[in-house]
Amino acid sequence: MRMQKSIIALFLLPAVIIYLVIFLYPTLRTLAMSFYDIPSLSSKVAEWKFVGLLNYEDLMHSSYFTGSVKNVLGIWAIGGVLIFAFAFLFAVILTSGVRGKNFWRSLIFLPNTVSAVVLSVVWLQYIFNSSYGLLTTVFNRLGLTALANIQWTDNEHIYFSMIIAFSFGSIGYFMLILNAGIDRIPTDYYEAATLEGASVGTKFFKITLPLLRDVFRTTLVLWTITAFNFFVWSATFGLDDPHTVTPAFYMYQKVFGRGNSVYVEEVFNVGSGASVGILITIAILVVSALINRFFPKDRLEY
Amino acid sequence: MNKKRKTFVSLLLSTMLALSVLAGCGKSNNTEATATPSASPSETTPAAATEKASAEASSLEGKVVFWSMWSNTEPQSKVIDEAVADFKAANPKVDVEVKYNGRDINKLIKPALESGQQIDIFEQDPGAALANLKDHVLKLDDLLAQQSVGSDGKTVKDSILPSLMDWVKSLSVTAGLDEGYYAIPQQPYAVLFFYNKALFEKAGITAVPASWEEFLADCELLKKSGVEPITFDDAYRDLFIGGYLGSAMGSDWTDKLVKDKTGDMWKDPMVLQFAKDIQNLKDKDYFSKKIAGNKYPAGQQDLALGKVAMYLNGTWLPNEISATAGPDFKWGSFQFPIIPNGNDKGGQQGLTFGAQGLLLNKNSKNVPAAFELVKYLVGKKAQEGMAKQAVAIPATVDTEWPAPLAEAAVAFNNAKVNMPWGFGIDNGADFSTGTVIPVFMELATGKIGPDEYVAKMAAEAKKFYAGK
Repeated sequence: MRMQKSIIALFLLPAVIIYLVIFLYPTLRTLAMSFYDIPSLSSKVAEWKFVGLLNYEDLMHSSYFTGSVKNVLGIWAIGGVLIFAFAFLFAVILTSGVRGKNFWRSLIFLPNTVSAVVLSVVWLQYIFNSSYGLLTTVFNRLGLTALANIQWTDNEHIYFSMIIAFSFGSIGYFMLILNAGIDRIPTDYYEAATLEGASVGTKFFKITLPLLRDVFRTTLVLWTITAFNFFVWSATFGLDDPHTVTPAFYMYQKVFGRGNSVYVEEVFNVGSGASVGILITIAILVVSALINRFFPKDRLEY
Repeated sequence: MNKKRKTFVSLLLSTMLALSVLAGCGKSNNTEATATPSASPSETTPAAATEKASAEASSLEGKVVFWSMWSNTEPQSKVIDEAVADFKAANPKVDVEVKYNGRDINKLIKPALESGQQIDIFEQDPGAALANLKDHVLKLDDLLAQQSVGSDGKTVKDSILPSLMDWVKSLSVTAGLDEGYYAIPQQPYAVLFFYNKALFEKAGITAVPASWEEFLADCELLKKSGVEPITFDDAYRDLFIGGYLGSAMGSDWTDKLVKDKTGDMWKDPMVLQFAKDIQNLKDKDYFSKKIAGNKYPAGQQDLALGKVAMYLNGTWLPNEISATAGPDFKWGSFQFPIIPNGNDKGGQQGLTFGAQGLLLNKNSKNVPAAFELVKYLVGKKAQEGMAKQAVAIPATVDTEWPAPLAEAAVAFNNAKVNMPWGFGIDNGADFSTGTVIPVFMELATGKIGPDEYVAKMAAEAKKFYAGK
């Protein structure tokens, strides 16, 4: 029995209403806010001052903000390569019939179950710490004093330290998705290839990778969204250090204040934060569109 | 037909259910976040009740809501709980609700007040509160004439340190309010060098350094005795820059410096002198080797552990790291040393000091009871508690200061001018965080020399402000 269109519409109504109220309305309001100078998040509309595109112009002229854009692009590229290299490696190993598959999978996924704030404190104070951190201790034991003396959190190293620490925690998540994707590929292909004498590498590049295209595209979009909204690690690693600041954290600073100390009075401009939010949204849309362009959407049936 | 109606009804029901679930969420969040003080009044009832049995006080009733800036894990909250318990013992009809917001209060208070939520008393930095919340604060001049709790025969106003009261009063005019008192100051703080007295004694230092020369001499002695003289954390890098320049030229000058659109002010001889002195500290290894990578609180832990001798910070430091430092740690403090060739606007008359404040909501429906509670919070007993349990400077006049902060009294006596946080070096907003601090770190770690520093700052300032 086919349902009438009106009933379908009726069933969709709550979802549509909720979507409009909690997603579309805030987005449009943020867009509007980005054209105003707004002293506080709770300011009444009457207190808003229209400034046109000034917020956007100021952002373009602020070397602090443009630096944060460079930072986030680096995180997207470097972190992306790191994460996907390891996620693919682990996913392939786990699906190759290794013993204790579930145990290893849980182990690699484990960092995802820990709060990002906790993880970053662990990395900052127990791994990168230059007096009793893990790296210093291990390198000292091995007699590699030059490596042991590196200040992992100084201006030169903190950016890469942050990317490594973040990637460590994110590999498990993407590995899990890729793992599920590989599990879906029929084993016949591999059996046939093995019979023909194909090596592990050939099987990966000729079977796994092409058949994983759909899944990979999805994970890439997910990664882009995660990377462009990179926030917590920037906040905990750098406070407001220009070497680690990202647009999302910059937006937070503008909207909620810088406040690493109670004792600083702040100047807010919520409108400027809103324009950062709009720029991030646009960037994600553009990159997602590009990804869909490069990975054609024809569905693979197998 | 019947079937259709059924679908419609079930749809309606499910929508209502979804809505009620959403509404439920909102509500439960509110109640969860609200913590009522857990200290049971029965412990203190007998003593307090006899102490305060005036008919006027006990006639108070209704509900009072107090938003605190402390979180319930901090020692300050224990003192507040005790004060509230004393108040409740004397005013059994008043229902008190304390919400320990922690520092999130800075973000929550304005929306909460504007939405008309019941908040009778709230804690804030008075400067920030009067600037941002001036439509919500109650003028306290008349109330302050009431008798204080614990300081015999003194009014509330007279029971509190006069310099703090004057400072709070001065803020009202700047904020554009009628001159008067809108906040009751408590938990005064100042930014000072904190040092480990045992290490100073071991190095043979008998008096705290007053001038830059003496400061350098003491650093040399400390270095010879085998400890690193100075350290700081990433969160407080600004204090060191501001401390030097503000001490030399005053905070108005540093404020102008970071806002200078031409960049020419960075070519002032004082900036070069500053850069040379910082290079000197670095070359002679007076800075801890770890300043480049110190992540708050790594540096202050080094101070607590006796690896480093000095740390520039607020008077809250001894309390903050008391767990690592231990009860036997001997604290000393001194003001930023006097810098030669200054312009007389800085020096030791200028001090970054302030206090937290207790403020009353203008729209409070229960001002008498609320102010009565405030009297307990700034009463002598509570302030003694703050000094003992939270190593905070008491706000009441004749309460003994906690031992770790005893030397800080010198600085409070010297102070005539109140300097802003970071002595104005943070006033450049994005320029300060994005350029001033990182380039300073390049200087302090020896990546660039003094002349390069001056040239780079002048160029960067010009570039940063070019589009504005």
